[in-house]
Amino acid sequence: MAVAEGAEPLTLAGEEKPSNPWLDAWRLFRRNKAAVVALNVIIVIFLIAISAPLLTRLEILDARTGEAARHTINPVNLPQVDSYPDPLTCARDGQDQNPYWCSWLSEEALLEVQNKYCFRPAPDPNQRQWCYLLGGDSSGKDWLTQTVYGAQVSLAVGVLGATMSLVLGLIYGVIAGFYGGRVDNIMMRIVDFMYGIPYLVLVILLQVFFTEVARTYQGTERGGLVGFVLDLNSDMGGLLFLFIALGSLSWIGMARLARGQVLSYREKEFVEAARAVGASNRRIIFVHLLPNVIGPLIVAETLAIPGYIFTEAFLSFIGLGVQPGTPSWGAMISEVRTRGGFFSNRFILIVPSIALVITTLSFNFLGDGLRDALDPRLRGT
Amino acid sequence: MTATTKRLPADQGILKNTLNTIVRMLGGTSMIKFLVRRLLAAIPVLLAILLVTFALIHALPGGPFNAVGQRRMPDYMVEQLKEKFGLNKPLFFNTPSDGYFPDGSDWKIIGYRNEQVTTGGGQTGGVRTEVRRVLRVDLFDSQFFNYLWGALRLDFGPSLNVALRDQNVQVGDEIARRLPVSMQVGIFAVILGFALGIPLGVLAAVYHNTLVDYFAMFFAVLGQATPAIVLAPVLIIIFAVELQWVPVIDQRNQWRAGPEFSLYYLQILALPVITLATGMSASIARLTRASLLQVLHEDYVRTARAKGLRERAVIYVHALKNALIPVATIIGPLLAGVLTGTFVVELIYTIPGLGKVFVDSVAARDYTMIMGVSLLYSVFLIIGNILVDVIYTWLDPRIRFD
Repeated sequence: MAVAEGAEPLTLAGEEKPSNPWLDAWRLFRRNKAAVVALNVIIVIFLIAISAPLLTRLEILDARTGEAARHTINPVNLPQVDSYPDPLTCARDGQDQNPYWCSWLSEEALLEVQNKYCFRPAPDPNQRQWCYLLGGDSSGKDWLTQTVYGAQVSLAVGVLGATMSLVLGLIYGVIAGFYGGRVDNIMMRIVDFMYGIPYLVLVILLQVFFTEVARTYQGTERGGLVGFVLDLNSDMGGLLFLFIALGSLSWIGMARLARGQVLSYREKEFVEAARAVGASNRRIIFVHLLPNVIGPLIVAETLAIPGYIFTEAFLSFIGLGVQPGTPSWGAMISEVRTRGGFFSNRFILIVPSIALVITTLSFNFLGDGLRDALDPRLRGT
Repeated sequence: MTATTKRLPADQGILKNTLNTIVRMLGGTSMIKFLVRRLLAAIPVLLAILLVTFALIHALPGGPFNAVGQRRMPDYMVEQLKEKFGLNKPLFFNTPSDGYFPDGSDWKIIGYRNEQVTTGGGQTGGVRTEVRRVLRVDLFDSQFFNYLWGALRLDFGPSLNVALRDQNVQVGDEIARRLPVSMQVGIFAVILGFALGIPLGVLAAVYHNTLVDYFAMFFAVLGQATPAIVLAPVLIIIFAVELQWVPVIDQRNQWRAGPEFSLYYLQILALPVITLATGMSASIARLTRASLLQVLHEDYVRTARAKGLRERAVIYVHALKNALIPVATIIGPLLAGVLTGTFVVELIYTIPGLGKVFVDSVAARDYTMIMGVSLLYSVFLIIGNILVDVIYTWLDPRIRFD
């Protein structure tokens, strides 16, 4: 039997190796330059957020104890200012640390900068100085540090909020869509009902409730589940309650979407075929339905992430978001507005604003890219 | 006699005709049925919203008379105020176990019950049985149900806010004063949003995959990604603080006075409306572009082109009309969204509208005002949701209700 060297084994045309849909999606996604850039930006922001303690050596006040952390510039030592320090202003550090930002400057240049920009001219040029690269706020906290830490809050709210809403909506919608009949009817009535609740109104009411409860029990020892939840929330800087408030209504849109998807796929031939060979309900849901259903949901959730970030920023802006002292971009904008009244050094506002816009812009582009990749029918919308 | 009997059927005929016309205009009997069903379904939703809001705000620590940041009052004054506004009543059900004993005239006493009481006995004397009249009180004479009965009569009670309660300001009146302020911003923003968004979307679609398209879409995405709390301060800094073209806040009480053709009104309106309209026009532009691109591939557009029509006629007469269908359907969520969107804008620009009232009254524990405003928002949201479905069927007759 002479088989030609290098001949490929015979295959029928239809018997090619089935292409992996996720790999196809990835290939489509990579073609979208804006989305790839956005993904990279998000990864960078994420890395900045998780390595915030390494990047910045000016730590901020501990939200719970109110004590200055190790490298903090003690606000008490600073004169009360009614305007914000300009970029490159310096403040004295009592600790024996190496000069941080100012180490880039020569001593003469440093002295000049200090005389020009500092709260007080430094009496002794040899004294170690801290510099605010992007300025500081009215209590002497470094603006750049707060911006870097603020990424943690925004990303956590965006990503975890979206994940929670996705999981809840998916479970709810798949159950309603798959079992149909009376179950579906009751479950969808509940969803219709919740559609009539104004989102922001409920979120504000819940947040007021949570912040008041947290404030009431602050410092008191409380055991049991309530104490555990309060402690956890306090450790997270108020994020836990924020998730609950944001997640309270955001899943209903996802539930509707998931149900619609399940309904459209439930009667398709491949599900019928699976049923015919005796697949269990669980297998049909997890193996056949879920991979088809989840694509549009991921797209919708990614596009919803900016909404969560906006809501968090807005809540922090009106003082109902994270706990006071936890840096958040919304709280920073609010700080400039309330303390500075837009008339002092207002350009400091640009830092958290740009951070916020870049983050939401990236998630928008990422969502568009994902939609083109995962849901080709909707391309270009 | 005979004349009148003969005229009656004719009247009925006219009535029937007008009724038929109205029904047809609304979209047929199925649409009427649908509307009635949706409106009926809204009732339990509103009830539940009242219940949830009521439970939440009463679970908050502190009350309207001892909220954080207010001057502390002596306890007896708080008690008196509570009695005046009915806040000393039980929350949900006025059951005897709540230990409240009515003696004032402000309690709803629905009657008396004769009760046999036996006194005396023992060594002193004979047993006497006398019939006493005992007050019978309403089980529903509670804070929640009193509010509910009032709300059904569109009486939302007096505001409990410290600045308003002494003047006996009613929540309904206050909302009626504040709502037009919010509406001014919202309506002008919707108009500007469509006026900017649709041309931008059309431009992007007509010059598909050219620099125009890329620029338009980049600005649309940027507009979507810029929240009001970023845009508003930036606009204030540029136009109010640096250039001083517009005042930072309204100093002439113009918001309350309402629209007028004056430079000043335009000045105070400009920044809030631009802030709200940016995000709106961005999403409208993207929707218009996508929809027009899809329509331009349809057969009838090809037919129009084959007939030798000019490109402009093809796009603006034939394609755009159908392309705007999906755009029109976002009016519903837009109107509902505008109301919540004004929340942010009102707070930043200190506009005395509903959003500001809501946030202020939450802080002041103004129970009646919170309930009133949440109820109003819910009504708007529900109407907006129904409106979407109705617009869908008007624009696309293939969609049916069953």
